[in-house]
Order: sequence, then structure tokens, then C-alpha cells
Amino acid sequence: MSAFIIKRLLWGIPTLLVILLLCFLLLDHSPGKTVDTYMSNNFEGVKSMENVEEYEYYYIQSVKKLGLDKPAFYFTLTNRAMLDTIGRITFLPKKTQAEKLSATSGNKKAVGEYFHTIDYLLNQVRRLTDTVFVQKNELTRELYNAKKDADYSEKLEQISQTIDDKNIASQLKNLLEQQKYFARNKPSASLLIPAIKWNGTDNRFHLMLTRLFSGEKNISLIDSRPVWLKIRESLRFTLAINLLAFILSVFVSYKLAIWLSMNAGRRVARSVNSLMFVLYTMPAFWVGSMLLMFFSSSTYGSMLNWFPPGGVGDIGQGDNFFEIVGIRLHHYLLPVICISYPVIVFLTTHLKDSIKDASGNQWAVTARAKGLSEVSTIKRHVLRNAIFPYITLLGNIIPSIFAGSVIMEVLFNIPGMGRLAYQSIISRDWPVLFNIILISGIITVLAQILTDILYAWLDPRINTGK
Amino acid sequence: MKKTPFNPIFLLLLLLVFPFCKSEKKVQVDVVTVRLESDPDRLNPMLSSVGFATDVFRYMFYPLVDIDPATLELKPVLVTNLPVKSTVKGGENDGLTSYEFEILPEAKWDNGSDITANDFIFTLKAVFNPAVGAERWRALLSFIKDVKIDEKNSKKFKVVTTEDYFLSDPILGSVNIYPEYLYDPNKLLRTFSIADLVNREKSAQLTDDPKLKQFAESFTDAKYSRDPKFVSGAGPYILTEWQTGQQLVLEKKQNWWGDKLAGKYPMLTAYPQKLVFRIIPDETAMMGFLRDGSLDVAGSISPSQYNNLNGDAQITSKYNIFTPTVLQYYYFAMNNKDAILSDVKVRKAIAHLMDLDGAIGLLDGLGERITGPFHPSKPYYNHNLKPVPFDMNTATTLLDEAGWKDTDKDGIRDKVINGKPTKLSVTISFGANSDIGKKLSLMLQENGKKAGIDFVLDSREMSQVMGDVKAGKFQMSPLKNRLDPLPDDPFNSWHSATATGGGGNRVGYSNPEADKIIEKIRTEYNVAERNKLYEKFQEILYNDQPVVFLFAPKEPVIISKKFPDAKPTIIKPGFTLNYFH
Repeated sequence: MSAFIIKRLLWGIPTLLVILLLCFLLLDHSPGKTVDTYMSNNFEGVKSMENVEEYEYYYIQSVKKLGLDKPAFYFTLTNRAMLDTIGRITFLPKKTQAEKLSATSGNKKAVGEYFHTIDYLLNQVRRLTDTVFVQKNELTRELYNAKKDADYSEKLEQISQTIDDKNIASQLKNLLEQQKYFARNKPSASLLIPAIKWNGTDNRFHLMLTRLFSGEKNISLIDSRPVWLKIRESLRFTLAINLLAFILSVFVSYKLAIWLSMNAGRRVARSVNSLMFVLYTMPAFWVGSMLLMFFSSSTYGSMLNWFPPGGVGDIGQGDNFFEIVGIRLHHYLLPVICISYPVIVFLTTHLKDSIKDASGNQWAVTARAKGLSEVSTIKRHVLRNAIFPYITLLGNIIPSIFAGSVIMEVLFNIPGMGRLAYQSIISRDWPVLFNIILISGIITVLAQILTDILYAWLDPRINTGK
Repeated sequence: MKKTPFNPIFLLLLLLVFPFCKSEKKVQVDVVTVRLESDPDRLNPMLSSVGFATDVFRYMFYPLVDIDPATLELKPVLVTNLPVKSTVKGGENDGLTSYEFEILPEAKWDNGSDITANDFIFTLKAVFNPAVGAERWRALLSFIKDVKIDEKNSKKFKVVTTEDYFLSDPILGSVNIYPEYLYDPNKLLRTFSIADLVNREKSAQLTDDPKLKQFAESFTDAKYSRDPKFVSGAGPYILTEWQTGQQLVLEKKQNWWGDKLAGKYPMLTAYPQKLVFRIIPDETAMMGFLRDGSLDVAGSISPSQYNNLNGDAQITSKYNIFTPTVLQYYYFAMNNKDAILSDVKVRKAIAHLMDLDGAIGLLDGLGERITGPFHPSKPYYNHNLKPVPFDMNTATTLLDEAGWKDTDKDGIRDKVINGKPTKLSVTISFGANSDIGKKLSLMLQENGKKAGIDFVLDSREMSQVMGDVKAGKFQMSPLKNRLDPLPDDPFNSWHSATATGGGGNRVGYSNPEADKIIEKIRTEYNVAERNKLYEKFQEILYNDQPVVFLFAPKEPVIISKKFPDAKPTIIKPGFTLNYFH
């Protein structure tokens, strides 16, 4: 048995890694260029951004701040035509341009020379005296445009004809020739030959993994607080609510299923069945808002104003244990009901059906024939056989309870993990996000293992050795 | 024997719950409870990047000067008067512009020490420390060259700047001052001069300096962002409690120095003893708290929720509902470099196709028509210009004049452009999640059909739409623009110099006459003269119609009747709590 558990736990590790990798890739490829969003959030309307050089400076700073100056994974899949130094370009518009030029020409050397000419020109222009200030500004702006867009520039042509500095004029002509060359060119065959570039461990995925398991550096990007502290703060509410919901669901569904099977056919059981069907068809978030409306305000009479409108309650300084439990339960009751009622209906229906299937078996008939009461037949004989599908379901509902609690956390204003996850997605706080993914992954894996163990323990026929 | 399916445990649970059922709350007038949509990231003005943080720390940290939310005028906060501008004579900074500030003699930190020029310089050093993540502030203040403290008065100083710009003084004054004794107890930054730190080359050499790094690490640490013992500014309130996801509590400082001055300097008014910010992200949850009476103020309410509020007697009996316009405007961007839309007659015709009274109807009356890029509450908004009316006849006449005729009788106009027969078909790109954008686009498509324009709707993820708009790869797009309470500087959005290479002039508008006026606005310090320039500029834009200006939205704010004198403001989030009493 212990070998079985260890084996299952070990299998959990690669499973979690794959989950993390998939989430990382999805997040990395989600639309919306992070740097652009960051730039427009932080630098929109800032006057110094009118200066193209300042813009590039702050752009590169932002890229570094967001950690996007590093490659995404241990290797990059590219093609033979691509500029070798492409991974080192941090100014993303320039990178896009380099990719475009490499792809249209297939000539790495020419692409490298093109950017070299621009950088050389920018340096020369910087040295120009202020007497030609307007022209200098215009030229700088055009050169930066050339970095981002290769299309042949008429303005550069005009400037190259009027500028006094001979060196700059000749280099400008050179640049214009290069632009024309790229405009003429057809894609080359080297584009089709794949190339793998090895990035080593200095990549974003590796950084994410190491930070995830390092204590000190595992801090939120948004408020610099330790990630585990943030998660602990919110996890306690989520765990408390989900645990209560889970216990309530298992307890009620177990009892209810037995009661329903014993009273099958009676009018009262039929009514309960129909009621469950109606409940099951009602979406939980709607039931939640109805409960809030009826029982947490005086809209329908102050007699019904029993519960707080949300939150987890304020714990005073001098409150004792029972007061704290009381305040919390008072706030938790409505969300717990909303999370658990669909689960109760679901579990009850399944357990009831499998009891019904099992009670038709010959050994159940024998038990009854021996003179055992219906209660003892079901409890001692039928249930042991009918319980297996129920246990499988239990393992599966744990993750789904967690998923379902996200919407309840929003509705009942509970600062739990669901809300934290949502916020960290919105603010791209990936250290927090990946820790949450890891935790929910662990919960799912553990729930599955627990199911297997329960299964093996209840049914000796299951061989855990293999 | 039949057993009930429920155990007595449940009865016990219920018994536990009922003693805590609600009793009526006592009305506390000196406490204001406000809804906050989300936790602030940090209560550290230089490092925070979330608006919710500003909504809280604005009561804790005070700048030198600020915009009065009621009048939108610049007023002194921590200083005796608005800054005095002068030109430096002699020395290395000869000819540069400088601004002189004098901090109020009464102004003191929590430990009783004076707020001095040194604290201002310390704050700037923190901003310009290359290891501190305050990039936005560094970019914003990049025109600072040096700060000189008055030899006789440690509260008086001159800021030397590299450029002559009409918004320099409000930008300089907007810096929230930090107490050096609290944020740099070891005086690590004293080693460096402000002139060195603001200099790009010199500060680049200092990037790896251990003292700068040590300061940055400590300044960025969570304790300086949320620990009540370590977060404090010159304002009247101090953080006393922060329960993540639940609430933040600010309490009034005892014997705050500003109380005595509030008569003379109204910006120093601070009535409530306690401000409670309750974190309630969801609007439906917020409604519960409002009905319950456990909130006093709530802003950022969506138009759909606004209707629910108005019809709810429980809410209207306890609260006043206001609808101030916010500093934003909606417009239909048109690519002025596009072959079809470069014709001013076509642009004007499209403007006449906007059935905007209908569109404001879409917003449930929560919008005010505008004619230009400035907010109607600004003193220089040109009220002589009338909103372009919805007029099908004028639209068709303009299109006829522009040479667009339906020659092939397919219901869509056409014309030969550069030898190519072209259909009058315009693509509107809008964000799939933008309800207003979608409604406006559909309305235009419907009216376009009658006028012979084929509007093709292209709905995508908003960041993709914005990416295309920034790159100039679009025809039309309904967008929204944020405005500033400061006087407007139209350069970034409308000057031809920013019309290329990802600049702020995304629609590619270019008019040499407008360019000249925009440049003049930036150096005109005489308010009356500048206002004339603003009006002229609006006139030019109105005639060119580079975009269709739509409306300034109104955003409902609800305030408890406990505070009968409280008024909403047009500056976000729509209220200023220190005036509530």
C-alpha cells in the first residue's frame, strides 16, 4: 500500500510540471502585448515620451522590468534565415522589424548591416551642433522609424539631399539603398530550414520555476509581499468555506440518499426528488443573489434581514474563540449553502441510483429473505457495494467545489483564493498566479490519490501492488 | 422506525448563528465608509501603479500644490503660494527657467520636525535613484536640472528646469513629499547630489552603487507600502489597519498642523475623524451593502446599475445619487491618412450620420455632447461651436460633393481613386467587450446604409484593436480618451510631429496652422491669452473634423444623506472625502 502511495505521489510531480508549463505557455501567448500595455498605462501623456530616444530608453527599461528581455523557454525554434542576435534585441518594435527583414530577404548579413548603419547614423546625428536643431530632430525621428519600419522613406531621401554634413549624407544614401534592397527581395529557401537555438537556464520559465521554490525571492510583483503570505491570507477563507461545503455535501447527500432509497415510492420521497431536480436546474450564482436579496437586506421586510450582505466579518480585539467562530459562520452560511446544494443534489442522485442498482442483486434479496430489516440490508450489505461510484465522484468534486467557489467569493465579497487568482491574472502578477496554479494542481492530484486509497481500502479486490 | 435525514448538529449550528444576526447600526457622522473596488497595490505614491491606491493615499500624502476639485484651479497645499517662475542669471544654469516654492512654516511631520526643502530633495532623489522602480515619475520629472535651497530659509527652494513649459509648475508641485527621517533613517541618499542623479549619464554610472541599491530595496519593501508604522506623509490621515481584501482604515492625526490653517488654505480642510475603505469588487455585492446602510459613499457605478439604484426605494431614502461628468471623452477615431477618410467632406458626412441623442440614450442619459478634445467643464471649452447634428441630407450632399456616387446602383457609393474604382466601404474596428463601442458602431452601420456607405464591423480583442490603431492600420474605431484636470496640452494627440512612428497622434492629423497654435500654447503663461489659443484650436479641429467627437460620460456617485453638503467632483473617483461633514 505505501509503495502504491509513494508511486502515485511521484507521478504527481511531472503532472504538476506539465500543468505549470501549459499555463506558462498559455499566459505567454495571451493576446495584448504586455510591454505596450505597460507603456501606455505608465507613460501615456508624459511629455518626455515625445522624444524618440527617451521613448526607446523607457521602453527597454519596461521590458527589463517585466522580465521580457529573456527568452521564454530553454530553446527557441526558429529558421536559418533569422538574425542570430535576435534574442538580444530588447526594443520589441526593432525585433519585429528584424524578423520581418530576415524573413523577406533571408539575408542575415544585410539585416545586421542595416541596423548597424542606422546606429552609426544616430551617433553621428547626435554629434551635430544645435544650429540645425529642427533638422536634427526630424532626422532622429526618421531614423527611429527606419528601425521600426523598413518601407522606403521619402523624408529620408529629402533630408539626404539637403543636409550639409557629407558623411551623414553618404551614409543616408547607403541606408536608402538598403531599404530599396529589402523592398525588392523575395523570400529565400533558408526560411524553410528550421533551426533550434539553445537558450540555457537564463529563461523565463526556468526563472519562474526557481522563484516558485525559493523562499526569499518568491514575492509578488505588485506589492512586494511574500507570495505565501498573500496566499495564506486568502486560502484560509477559501479552505474554510470549501471544507464546510464539502462536509455538508457529503454528510447530507449520504444521509439523504439512504433515506430516499428506504422511502422510495412514497409521496414524500417523490416530492424531495422533484425538489432536488428543480434545485439542480437553478444556477447557483442566481440562487446566491436571491438569498442575498431576501435574507441580507430589509427589501422584503426587516424580519428576514438575518445575514450580513457579504464579507467575512470584523473580528474585534477582545473576541473569544466562540465569538470568532460565530461571526465567521454567520458570514459563511449563505455562501456554503450556495456552493454545496448543487453538489448535494448531484451526489445524492448518484448514490441513490447505485443503491437502487445494488439492491436488486441476489445477495441483497438473500439478506432480506434471511429476515434482515430494510435498514440493515441497505446499511450492511448494499451500501458497501454501492459506495464505489460515490467515492470516485468525491475525488472529482473537490476541484469542482474550488472552481465553483470563485464565483461565490465574488458574489459574497469573500477575499479568497479565487479573487486573488483573478486579480493576479489581471495585473499579470505571475509569481502569485503560478503559486495558485500549483496549489490547485496539488489539491487536485491529492484528491485523486485520496480517492484511490479510499477505493483500495474499501475494496480488497483492488490490487495496489501493480 | 423512520429517522430524519438531518442531525441535531444543524440545529446547533443555526443556534450559533442567530445570536449574531444584525442589530441596527449606530450612526457615526465623523466616520466615512467608502467602497473601493480592489485593494491598493501599495500606499507608496512613487511606486504604486493602480488607481485604487491613489484614492487612498491622497489623504495621507500631500503634494506642494494640487488642483482644487471644485474649481479645477491650481492651489497651494503644502506651500505658502503658487510657485514663482523666473530665469536663472549667471552660473552654469544661466538662462534656464526656475520655480521657487516656500513650504508653510507650520508644516510638520508626525515626529514634530519641520517639513523642509530637504524632504523635497530627498523625495526627488528617491525618484531618480536608478534602482527604484519609479520610471513614470522619472520620465515625468525629467526636465529637472537641479534644486537650490535658500541660504536663509530651509523651507524655501528653487527648482531649475531645462525647458520652458507651461505645465512645469503643476507637474513639479504634484510630487508627494516623503519624510526623510522615516523613509531613509540611515540617510543613505545624503551621499548623492540631486544634480548627479537627474543626469542620465552620471546616474547610469551609479546603477550598481551599493547604497542606492540598499535604499531601493528598503524603499520597495512591503513595509513601506502597507505597514502603519512605516507609511506616513504630510497629509491629515494615517493608516491604522489594512486587512487584505476586506478593509483599510485611515484615522485623523491628533492635532494635525493643517487644522489651524484650513480657513486660509481650504485645501487643508479635513473633517472626518476616520475613513474606512471597504473592498467590494462586485457591483451586486455593493448593492447589498448599500441597502444595508453599511456604506456611505460609492463611485464608479455602471450605467446599468444606475437604473437599479434609482428604482430602489431603500437606497434613494438613504442616499443622494449624483451624476457628475468624468474627465474622459468618447470619440470615433478616423484614420486621416486613409485614402477614403483623408477627404474632409467624407469625415464631415460621417459626423452627420451619428445619431448621438440616440447614442446618449444608449448610455441611459449618462453623457454630455462635446465638440472638441477638451472637457466641457474646462474654462476654455469653446461653447460657440455647436455639436454636429444628425442630418442625413447634409451627409448625402457632402458625399455627392466629394465625388462619391452610386454608379453601379448597388446601394453603395463608389469613386475612382488613383485610377482604381473604389467602393465607399469603411471598416470599423472595436473591442469585443466594449458595449458602448458596439452600440455606436451598429448605429453608424445602420445610418450608413441609408447614405450609401458600407460600414464593415470588425470586433476583436481590445488590445489587438489598440495595437492596430497605434500602428495606423485601421480606418475607424470608437475609442475613449482620458483627460487631465490640468490645462490641456494638445501636442501629444494632435501635433503632426507625433503622427508617425507610434506617436500619440494616432489618427494621423496634420494641419500646419494647428501645429503653430499647439506650439504657442506650450509656452504661453498668460491664462487669458492661452484660453484664446485653445478656442482657436478647437475651431480649427471642428472644421477639419479629424475624428468625430462624441460625448463626455457621466459616472454616478452615491453619497449618504448623512452628509448633506457633500458634492461630487469631476476628478476621479468623483468625491473628496476630507470635505465630508
